[in-house]
Amino acid sequence: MDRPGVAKPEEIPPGASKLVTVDGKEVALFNVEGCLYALGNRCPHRGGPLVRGRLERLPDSGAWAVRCPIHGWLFDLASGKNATGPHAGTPSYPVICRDGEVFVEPPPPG
Amino acid sequence: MDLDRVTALIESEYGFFQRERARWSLTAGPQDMELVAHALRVILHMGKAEESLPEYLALAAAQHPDGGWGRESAEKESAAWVSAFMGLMLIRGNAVLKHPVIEQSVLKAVRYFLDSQKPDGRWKDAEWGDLDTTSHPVSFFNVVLALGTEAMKAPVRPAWRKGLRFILQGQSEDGGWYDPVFHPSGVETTAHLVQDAVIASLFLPEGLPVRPACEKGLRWILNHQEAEGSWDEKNVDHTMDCTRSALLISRSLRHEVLARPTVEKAMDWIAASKNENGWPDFPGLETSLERTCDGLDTLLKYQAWCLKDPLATARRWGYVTGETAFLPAVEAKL
Repeated sequence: MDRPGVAKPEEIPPGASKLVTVDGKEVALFNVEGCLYALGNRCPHRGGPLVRGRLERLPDSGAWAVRCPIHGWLFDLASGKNATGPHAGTPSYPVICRDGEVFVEPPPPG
Repeated sequence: MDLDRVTALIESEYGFFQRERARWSLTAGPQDMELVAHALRVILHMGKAEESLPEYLALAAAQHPDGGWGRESAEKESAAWVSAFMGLMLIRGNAVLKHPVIEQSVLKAVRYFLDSQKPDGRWKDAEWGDLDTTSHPVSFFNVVLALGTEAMKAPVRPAWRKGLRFILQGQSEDGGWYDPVFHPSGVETTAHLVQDAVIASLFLPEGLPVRPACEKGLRWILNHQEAEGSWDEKNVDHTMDCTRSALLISRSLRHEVLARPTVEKAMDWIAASKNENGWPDFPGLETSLERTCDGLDTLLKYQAWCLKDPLATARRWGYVTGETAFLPAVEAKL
């Protein structure tokens, strides 16, 4: 990851979220119990900002998910898959902490 | 809220809404139909239906052969939630326009919902929870029963009753409606259901006994307001939903005194959360045109709530015949 960092780890303590921009796209960063996740910020339903969503566990797997604050679609934080039904998901990005910075890697083009 | 301030806000935001016409008008090209429905509600409540006939005819032309509409105007598959919103806008607009093409379109929409109701009374839409989805056709049928012709009303009654019973059975002991899949917190679902589906029965001769459900629903909404005036952690959409619900239910049950502190705090919060033009989904974010339509609708419903006639508020929802007059100050400026 040789692109610039998008945030400092201390800006996203456990339980917090932060909106950053990666290659011109809005990305929502979440810190859940010390693990960082990065998802496309806009819900594919009506464009709700996922960075303002509530974090909760998926009932079947227990994995962490974020609920869109507008109409309630639910997205797996690790994969971006839609857990509400057979609807579109949101992009998920690899995220790492290194040298006191948070890096988000956008998916390869195409 | 000071009514001069309400008037000024309506004036400025309606001006912005008109400048954005290319983004919501079906006469300007393909559109997101949920946004079109929100825009037509603004047109209706601004008293501009008569001069907007092309918008209504374009909506009728976009209707599918099964009587429904897609989420996008170009989409071929009908969806229940948006179709009910469209049917509602057409029947309400046609109360002013009285156009035969629109009347036929309303009849087709009625048929779509009679054909798609499930045996237990619910309607389904993959993008929305069943309670929320069902509240929309019930709302459409409420208005059919209030404003429609007898030919429309007769087939609607049994389906409407089943749909409303499905919703009433879904109310929790504490007065809220919760959707475990889409809305576990219950805020948006409760605000939608009590105003869109349940309260209309108070005004309909064939209505079900809903007063206790509405009393509990109103108290649930009032109790869930946050200290600064919003609902759901500064969620503009849900705050507008809850405010409109509190306006209609409190006026209909004559609980204005109980609701006024909540309503006034909410209106101040809504006014303060506005961008220079329009409203965002959360304070500080970019303007959403759909949220701007909701904001205008909330102001116009608040205005009706301030009128002396207690039925003026219910008229804004189409549950009582007639038009709600503008306050003189508003009418003079528009």
